[in-house]
Amino acid sequence: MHPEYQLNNTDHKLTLLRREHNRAWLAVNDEPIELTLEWINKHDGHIELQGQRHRFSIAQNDKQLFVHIFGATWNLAKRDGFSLAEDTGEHSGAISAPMPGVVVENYVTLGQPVEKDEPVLLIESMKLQTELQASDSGVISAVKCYDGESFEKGSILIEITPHDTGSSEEDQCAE
Amino acid sequence: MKKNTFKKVLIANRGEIAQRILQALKKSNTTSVALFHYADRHAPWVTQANEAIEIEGASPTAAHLDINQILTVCRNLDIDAVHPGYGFLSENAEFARRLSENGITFIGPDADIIELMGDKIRSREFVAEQGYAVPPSVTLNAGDNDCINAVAHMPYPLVVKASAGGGGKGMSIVHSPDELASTLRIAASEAEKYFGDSRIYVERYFASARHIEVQILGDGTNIVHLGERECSIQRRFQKIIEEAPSVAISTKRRSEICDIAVGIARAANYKSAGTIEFLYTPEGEFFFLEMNTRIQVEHPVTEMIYEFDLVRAQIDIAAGNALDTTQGSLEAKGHAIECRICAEDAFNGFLPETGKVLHIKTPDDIDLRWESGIYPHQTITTAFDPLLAKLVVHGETREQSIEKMKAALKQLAILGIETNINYLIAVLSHPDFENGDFDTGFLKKNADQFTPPALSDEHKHALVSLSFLADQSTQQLFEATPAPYGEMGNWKN
Repeated sequence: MHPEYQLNNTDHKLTLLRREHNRAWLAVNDEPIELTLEWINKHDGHIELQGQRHRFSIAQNDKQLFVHIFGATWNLAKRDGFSLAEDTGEHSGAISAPMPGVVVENYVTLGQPVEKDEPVLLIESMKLQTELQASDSGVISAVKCYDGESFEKGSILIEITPHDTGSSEEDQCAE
Repeated sequence: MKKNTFKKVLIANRGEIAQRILQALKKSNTTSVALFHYADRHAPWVTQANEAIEIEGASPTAAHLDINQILTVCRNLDIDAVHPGYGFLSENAEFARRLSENGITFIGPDADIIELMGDKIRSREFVAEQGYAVPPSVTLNAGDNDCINAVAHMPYPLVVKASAGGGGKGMSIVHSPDELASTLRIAASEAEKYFGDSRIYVERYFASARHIEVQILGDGTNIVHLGERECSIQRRFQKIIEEAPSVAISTKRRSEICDIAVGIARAANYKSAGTIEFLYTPEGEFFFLEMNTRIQVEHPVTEMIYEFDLVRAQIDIAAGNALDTTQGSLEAKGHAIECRICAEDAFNGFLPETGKVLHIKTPDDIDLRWESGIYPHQTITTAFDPLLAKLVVHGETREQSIEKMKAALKQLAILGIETNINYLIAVLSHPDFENGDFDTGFLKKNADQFTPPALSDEHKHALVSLSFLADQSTQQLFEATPAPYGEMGNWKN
């Protein structure tokens, strides 16, 4: 069993070598570590590391772990086989939500030509309005939101088919 | 003399300020009524109030702004008085007027004073008439075609503000003429949408000024001040760290600014608690910015150094009691700092964060005020401001309260949602902050110097190991695994 946990975008591989009562011997990225764990309640406890006690709090939401220790809160994600191959990358003309929020006003319609940096959408999040700008010059190829609609961080709101600077010029020449 | 009191007070707000008002009502044995939207039904300020009544609306915000519905609640429940907190209807003159028409007391100044001082354009005209300094500005209607010409003579940078705005809402800075058109467009949309008033004004922006405000308390005749608060540590015009007293002003300047504030409040025959905000420029000038005719988010720092309950005083004054405090009896002791704990990715442009609060652990060996309306299993959405809670500490000196605050923030755990706690620690640790050498541009100017905490390899490995051992799937596996692993016994008790 070699589970992996991601912390600050770095994966750490774990091996449990031995456990005895509340003491465990593990290897993290092949480096050995020994620690003792004591719970106060289901969220709070202490670890003993190299003879020193450290207070911790922990909570879990599915594969996400939130751990408070060493004076800060750390977010870790348990990795599994599926999540490693997840990132497909968004294509260049997509305008995605930089934060969760609500669409206030859509300035563009399907098929409309836009210039790079032209404002295309007015959104609102935490009572602050922000204009989103076209990421490329091109034509609006999809409007995936309507005025008043709420969206999550990362949702694709508008897609633009960019004017292809290289090949399209040649195409135009051919016509 | 017997004190006038209210029998039953409605708390027309939510979150930490609702909790704060509830606490003041409990202290004086006044019956409290919480007003809540369905989304807040499990909140402590709802469950701990003597009575709680649900109000409806498309969103909690819409419900808390619905004057007719709130008036109906007041009549049905025989409410004597309404405490509006901050935000929502706290500076809404129509609300104050309609309550009064129905024989219900609005805990705050009279509608006329709200209209005069709450309107940013009218109040600055009033203050200028009294002979006090206001920053150079131009008032315009954002829809006007010639509004760009109207400000053509002003030097950049400029700041565009909604007349009815406040708390950093409806404000933006313009650095060059080519940004002006888009800024005015957004300002118009925001001003109309949030405040139903498209009037805006454009004023000179003082990039390196400090934001200093004075706490006022008046009963319509007598006015006292409770010193100043330094609120220059702001992101997107919203304060995140406030302290009292300000490290920037001498005793002489302090008495000057407090006298100006008392003078303005006296001219308005001010009644209730209020705050007069000033810009303090590097040249040593004080410009009147605006007056907030309500309790402020950062009122606890003043309460801590004066050992004075401002919310209690607001209620007593509204009940018809004369101010029983004289200026001479008010003495500030030590130094206090407040940090606003927000749900946001502070190291990454302060983007708001959403999620579910899974666990809260407050520092247990530090003497502090934890002002919070959050609770476990609460879902944090974008429907409200990102303010989750406030942490307030007091020390004998500024150095002592900074140290205390840093220690408290390091122990504070709000698990399940990204917060600005680590960012606040980074700001408090900056040498310029420690030396008191900062202005409203501080966070922007030093943005690249505020970094998330780092871990040694040993601590990183311990953290990953702890996560693995505490992971529910590991625990299940341990429980299901026979000897030799089985000898480990129960991990959790």
